[in-house]
Amino acid sequence: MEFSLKIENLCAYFGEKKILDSITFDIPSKAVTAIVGPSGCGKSTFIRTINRMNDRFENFRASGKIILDGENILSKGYPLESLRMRVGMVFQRPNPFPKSIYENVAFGLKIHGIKNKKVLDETVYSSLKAAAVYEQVKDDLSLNAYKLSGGQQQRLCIARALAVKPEVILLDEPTSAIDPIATKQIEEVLERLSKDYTIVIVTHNIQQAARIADYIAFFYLGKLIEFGKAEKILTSPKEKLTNDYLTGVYS
Amino acid sequence: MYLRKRLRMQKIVFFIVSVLAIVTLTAMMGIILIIFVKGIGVINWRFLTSLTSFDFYGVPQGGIGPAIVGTFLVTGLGLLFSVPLGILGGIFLSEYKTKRRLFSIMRMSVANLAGVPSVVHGLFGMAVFTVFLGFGLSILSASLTLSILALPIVIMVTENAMKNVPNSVREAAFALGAKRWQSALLVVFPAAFSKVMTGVILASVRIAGETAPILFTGATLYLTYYPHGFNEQFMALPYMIWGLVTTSINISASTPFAYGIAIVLITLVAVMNISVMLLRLKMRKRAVL
Repeated sequence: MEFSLKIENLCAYFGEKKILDSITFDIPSKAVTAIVGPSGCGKSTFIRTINRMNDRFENFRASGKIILDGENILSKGYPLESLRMRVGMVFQRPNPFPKSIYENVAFGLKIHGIKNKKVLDETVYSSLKAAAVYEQVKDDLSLNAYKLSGGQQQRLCIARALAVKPEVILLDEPTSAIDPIATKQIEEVLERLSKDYTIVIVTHNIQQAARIADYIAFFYLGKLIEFGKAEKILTSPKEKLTNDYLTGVYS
Repeated sequence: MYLRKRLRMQKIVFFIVSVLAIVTLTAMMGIILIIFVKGIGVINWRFLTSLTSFDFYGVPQGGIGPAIVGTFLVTGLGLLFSVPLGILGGIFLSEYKTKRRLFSIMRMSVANLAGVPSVVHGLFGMAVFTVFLGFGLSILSASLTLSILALPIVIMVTENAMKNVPNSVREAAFALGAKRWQSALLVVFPAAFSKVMTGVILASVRIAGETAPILFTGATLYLTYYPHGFNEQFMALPYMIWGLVTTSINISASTPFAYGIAIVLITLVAVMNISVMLLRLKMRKRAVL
């Protein structure tokens, strides 16, 4: 099995508070890995550390290693711009830019200096198609993205992330602000994308993890309790904590 | 019982608020009405376009053309200097908080600059632009002085408009590999643009009506010609009002003229405010913000 990201002894702190405690596991390539666990267990902090989104916060600090292609992305000189081109992210609430649909998807390419209209057009179309939102928006790509429904906006955000051709896509509870039908559409998109991309999705919804995940990592109080194939974790977890969580002892 | 009490409370509060609103509105309408009644007599095309002159008895003749031109010139030029600088300053304050030292120095300067009385700006402008830099009493000196007055307004408006753009949008840009300036200029600023423009127009209204900063830097009460260049003195609407009601030989004959100028100024402000509203409406309607 191939691994896309190797996480070694990852610890993360906000100020004095330790949010992640010695996380070590490898994220399989071209598969959906779901990060599950109760609120406040460090799921979001974990994936936001993978694309170094938490660097925005001054009191944030991480130690350990996250290896992408043989290089530790946590090392000081690692270029953030290229990291974020290789590791895309979709957020909890749809956050399109207050721009047209076209500009939303083209943005990632434009900021990296791609101006060729043909390349832009093709990437915008193929990304929108891959995110299964093309059919609904194709009539008017100049429409402001804010005019779309929540589910469409979130798929637009997926398209926007796809446009820069990342290897890994991180999703931070992407369906928690979205209705069940739109959730189903997004899950279908993710399943299809997992053939070509490494997908890491944070979810507090076990059913969702069961539906789409190939692998599950269970976090509890900043620690990785258990990691393995989804069916195995769901049917016969080794750890008592995992079992308790899955059976709803706490949530 | 309880519900009825709350309903009564609701009515009382609504009553108080309405009364206050009516008082405010009446006061404002009153001011405008008085000015219009006293000044509308002098308004005509000649008044707006021709040169100013006084007859033998000190009764103003002709119009306020040079003052209108002068006010437009110094306001426009003042904005030309202050808007680009102010917008960049506002962007810095909103997006580059992590540059701690520069941030706090700038924050403090802006707050202090905003609190400086306009007559002090006038003195500063005289000392620096008129005398030290040798621009003399001129349109240039006055516009530069006004631009310093407008600068903190533009900075603060831009900063607030930028801050109002949700953080999630910035994160979206960063997550695509955008650098901070790219997120600031390509995403956050466009989203804040209509609010920034509102602020710019408010700043222009503010400096168009200022008297003290232009007093020692280039405005003059009486000019028999239109200025030919930025190094010349100019007439300005607010200063002319002051001149007509205080230093004119025949004050009772000049006063209607002053009210006429006030009408022009008020109309100017109204036009600018309406254009702000239209701009916002247009921005909202357009597909791309």
